[in-house]
Amino acid sequence: MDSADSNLYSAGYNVDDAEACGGAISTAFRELRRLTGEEVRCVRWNDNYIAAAFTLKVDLPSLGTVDDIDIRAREPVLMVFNKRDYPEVAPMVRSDRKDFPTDRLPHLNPVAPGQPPSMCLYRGNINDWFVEHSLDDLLVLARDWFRDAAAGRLIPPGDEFEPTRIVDPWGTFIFQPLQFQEWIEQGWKSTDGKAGYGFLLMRRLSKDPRTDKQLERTTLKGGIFFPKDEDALQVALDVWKTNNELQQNSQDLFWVGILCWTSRDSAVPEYFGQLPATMDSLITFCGRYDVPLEQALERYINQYLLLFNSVPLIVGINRQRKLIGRNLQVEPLNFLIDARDPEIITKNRIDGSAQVLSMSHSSPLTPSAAKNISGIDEAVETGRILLFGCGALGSKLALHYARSGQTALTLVDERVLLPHNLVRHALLGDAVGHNKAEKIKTAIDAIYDTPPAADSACIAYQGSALDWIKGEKQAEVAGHSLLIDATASASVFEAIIRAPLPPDTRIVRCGIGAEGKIGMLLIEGPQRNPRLDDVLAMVYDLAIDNEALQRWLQNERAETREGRLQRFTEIALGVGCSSDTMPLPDDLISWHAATFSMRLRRRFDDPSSGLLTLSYVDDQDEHGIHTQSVPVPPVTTLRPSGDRGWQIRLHSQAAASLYASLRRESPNETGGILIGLIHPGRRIIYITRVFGAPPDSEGTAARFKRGTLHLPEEVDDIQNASGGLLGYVGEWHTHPLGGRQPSATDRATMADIRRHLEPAGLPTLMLIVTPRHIDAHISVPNHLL
Amino acid sequence: MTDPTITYIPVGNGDTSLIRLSDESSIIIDCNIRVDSRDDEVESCYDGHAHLLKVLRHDAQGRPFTDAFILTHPDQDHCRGFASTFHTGDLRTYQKKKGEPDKIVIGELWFSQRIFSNYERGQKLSDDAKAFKQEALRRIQLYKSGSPQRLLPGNRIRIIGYGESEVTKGLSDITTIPGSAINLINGSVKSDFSFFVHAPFKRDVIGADRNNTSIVLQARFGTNNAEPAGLAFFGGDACWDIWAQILKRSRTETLTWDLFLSPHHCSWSFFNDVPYENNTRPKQTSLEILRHHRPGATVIASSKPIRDDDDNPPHYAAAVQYKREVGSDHFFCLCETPSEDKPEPVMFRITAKGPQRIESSTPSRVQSVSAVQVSVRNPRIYG
Repeated sequence: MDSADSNLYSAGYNVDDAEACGGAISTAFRELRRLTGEEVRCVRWNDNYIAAAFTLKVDLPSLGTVDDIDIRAREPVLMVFNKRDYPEVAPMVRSDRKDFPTDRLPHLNPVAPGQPPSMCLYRGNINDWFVEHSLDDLLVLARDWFRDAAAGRLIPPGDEFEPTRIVDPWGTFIFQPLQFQEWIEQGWKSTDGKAGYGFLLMRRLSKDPRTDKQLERTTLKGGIFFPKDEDALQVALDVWKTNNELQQNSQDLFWVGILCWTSRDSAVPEYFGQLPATMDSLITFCGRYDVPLEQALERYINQYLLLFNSVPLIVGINRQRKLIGRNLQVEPLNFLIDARDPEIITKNRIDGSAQVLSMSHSSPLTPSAAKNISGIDEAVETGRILLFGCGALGSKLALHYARSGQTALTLVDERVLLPHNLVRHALLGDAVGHNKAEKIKTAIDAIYDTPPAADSACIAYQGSALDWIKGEKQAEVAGHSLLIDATASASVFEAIIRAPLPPDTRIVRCGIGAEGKIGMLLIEGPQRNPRLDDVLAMVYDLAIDNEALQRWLQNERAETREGRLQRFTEIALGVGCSSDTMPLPDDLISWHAATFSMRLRRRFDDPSSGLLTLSYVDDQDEHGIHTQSVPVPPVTTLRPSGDRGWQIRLHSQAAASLYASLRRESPNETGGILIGLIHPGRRIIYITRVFGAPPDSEGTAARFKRGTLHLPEEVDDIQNASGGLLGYVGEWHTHPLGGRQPSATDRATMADIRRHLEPAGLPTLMLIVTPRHIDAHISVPNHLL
Repeated sequence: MTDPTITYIPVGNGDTSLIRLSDESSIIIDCNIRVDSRDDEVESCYDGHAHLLKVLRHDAQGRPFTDAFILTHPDQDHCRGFASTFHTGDLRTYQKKKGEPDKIVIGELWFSQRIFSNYERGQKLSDDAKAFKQEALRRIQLYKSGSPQRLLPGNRIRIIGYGESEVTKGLSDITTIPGSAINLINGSVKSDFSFFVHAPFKRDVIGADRNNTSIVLQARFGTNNAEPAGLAFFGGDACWDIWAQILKRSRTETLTWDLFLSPHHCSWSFFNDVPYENNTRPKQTSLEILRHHRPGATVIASSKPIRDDDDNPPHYAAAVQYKREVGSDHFFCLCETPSEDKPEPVMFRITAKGPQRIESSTPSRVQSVSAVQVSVRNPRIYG
């Protein structure tokens, strides 16, 4: 390379000495010489940077470059190193050619005028990339960049346009691409499709600029567009000014910006490797596309729209091709014109030396964008979710849903947030003293820019969940696809079980037990079978073979030993987290909430079943985190003869086991005992499993004698394992030849058993299994009726 | 839509070329895939099967799939590994085997009927060639039986040459004769790709030397009525006299090339049938063929490293001839690129302005191992 070549930027730079920099820089230069096998010249960039000038070999297409773009087989490049921060800061790769065809190439970072063009080599953070790569890899990236540029393939085949890259923007304009497209359409309408301008009402989200001596970094949010029609503008102006008066003390300020656009009928094909940085260059830039910026500014100043110290400006560049990553054909280029200095404005003009800053564009968040970002399939219809309880668990669930774009939530809570709640609640200090449901709704509403349509808006209800289960809101439950009870309230649980809730609403309850070590998510089956109480009975049954559950249930039992009738006491599922006496850290609750949220998002794999998901944390063991999901098939409900309001709920595997025993022993009778839970309050006996005939049993076609060998021990084991929740609940035997009614012998046996159970206050239950039916016969002590 | 590419896979003295079209369909021309190339101990051998599995598409059943496989001629170094790399037999019998690389399904099988001719002593078919022949016969029989299955990918065939032998009689509908172009590949008409078929000629079908029965193809990229985007020659092992015939019979546009796979692994036979030690002068016709390249053209030698010795193929003086025509920057010996100890496929992207070499940006195996280590060693934090 001829360093005297006046076509090279580096020809005008001073020689520098990489060796003098020592360390990583001198190593890098030596490495570059080795890798390229070329002369690598060292030139001064500025005080903090040093540049390597060398040529890069580029493989060109055999017949020349595509569209004859001026990319050469040997490209002079500059690799610019940060003297202090290399290699944590990756070197920049720039073209050393003054005649580099910048305006025909995408994937360039805009640079200030007079600066060498800067290649955008990597979509993400190049510094992060470079940490895990080498100078050799960076050269490969650069080589591939030029190779693709030569083939017209910097953008893969397709028709989309690479929008201008803004490096280090001064601030951000936030607006919806669709809204922008509408503004431009409106604008074109007002100018007959020609290039033109109008004004934009914006809101400033950052600090009040009226007191600024400095030009603050700014975030502005686009609002309403006005074509330059006199009357409309005048009316709007008055409104804006009044608003600003009113908003003196608010952080949000109304602000007027300028929106310009290029012609509707011609596309601007150039890439902008350089963006204007002064008023002069901005006017030249706009002039190139007939955009009347000077007129717009004159009018802007004339009409006293320059309310603050700078002018927001959006120039819509008509590309007539879809922009990559945005649903737009017009590219918004965003600027802020610095007008702090009053001297700079004369005769309704802003002086050419005024500073022009590039701004980036960002879209306001919408629920559908949130779904995309969360990786959730938008097409999957979730419906509206009714959430009981906005406590520690409920608030986190609600925000998980809302952040992932599911805003159709009905939040129910009657309590206000108290200081100690802050330890484990999703809300923060400013919510203390406010209703939890209301404040969660406020937080959710603030996530999204535009209020969602009524059917997907978040609704807060200050009041009891019971209002919905059995009170004035009951009819409205049907509008929800999912009801999540996160109240940890036994009374709400009880009410849900008893209430005739709509069959199409899936009902879910979640809670945390064992001092936060176990989380439980109970999901009802369709048509409310299995019901929450059936799924809960399954938890107890699982404990028989599950140590963690066993420990929990046993501890609970030890604590409630003092209580009366503990045999019938269910363990409250889900401790009340609102209690300030319950030690439980926020992260643990969050982990359970996240687990529940993920499980609920996966929907219900087997639509015919309910589901039980258990999550376990062993705080003694860092790896002791796991979850387990168990499908719970529908239960068989039996109305026993002599029921007097009692019901038997037989779990499916227990029922299957009864029929299997009948078939296996047929034509002989067989039998055994029933294991489950008696709930006198509900008048329900849950049967979760059955024991078959002990070895010392005897069965013939006409008679069955249930033996006892090992039976007491086995029942004891089950009682222990389940914390006393499960145990013996009755007897069963088969009538393989039919006969659903108890025989005289059956009745005599039942009477005999009752003699023992009744004084203990327990019902006597006998199931008779025939080839096609299971029939229950019950006798209940009077005090339980 | 994607950019069409041609990839020449380093397989020693032998050919394995992969064409990918803009619609992502793929064509494999010949294979010389050694099973021991999968052996980690045999470092220097590039694993062609693994490469194909990495880049080929999969069908709806998750089976790796190529639209067409073209066998230029049934020599061992053009079909080695056929039976272990490709599925043969009814597609319904396809089975994935644990611990073994998946076999590749061939949509349409291309071959010349020469594979059914009798061979003289000393030119016995290899096991892989027999497997190929058996698969071809299976498809022919299916075709002749009129079974609707014959029209499905996995059973399709195309005959290159003249359908005059006993076996290939009645197959004229699926036969392409030399001197014509074809853009129907695996049941799909390509708008921006075709093959011009130069050989085998009629007389060679009954000829003696198998190398002289090679299929010779010019692959043409680009839409009609426009300057072709890319032109690539695949000539199997065709010797100088075949090329002389081609030169005589063909119009210029069917002779032009950007990429030339040197016949018979850079052997002297392309230049002269008289051994080099007896006659160092290449035939004028062969030089003439070479001169039909467009600017910036490239010659590929699919061979072992080329040394200055008496070996043939690859033949040192042949390589010199090629380099003289295109320049040494445009001559690639596959087993030397980028280095002898770690050869990698040479790939060209077909741009509107001709083929452009795409050097691997994906690190070689050693680099990928270290990348994995980096990924594993470092904690990942998401905000």
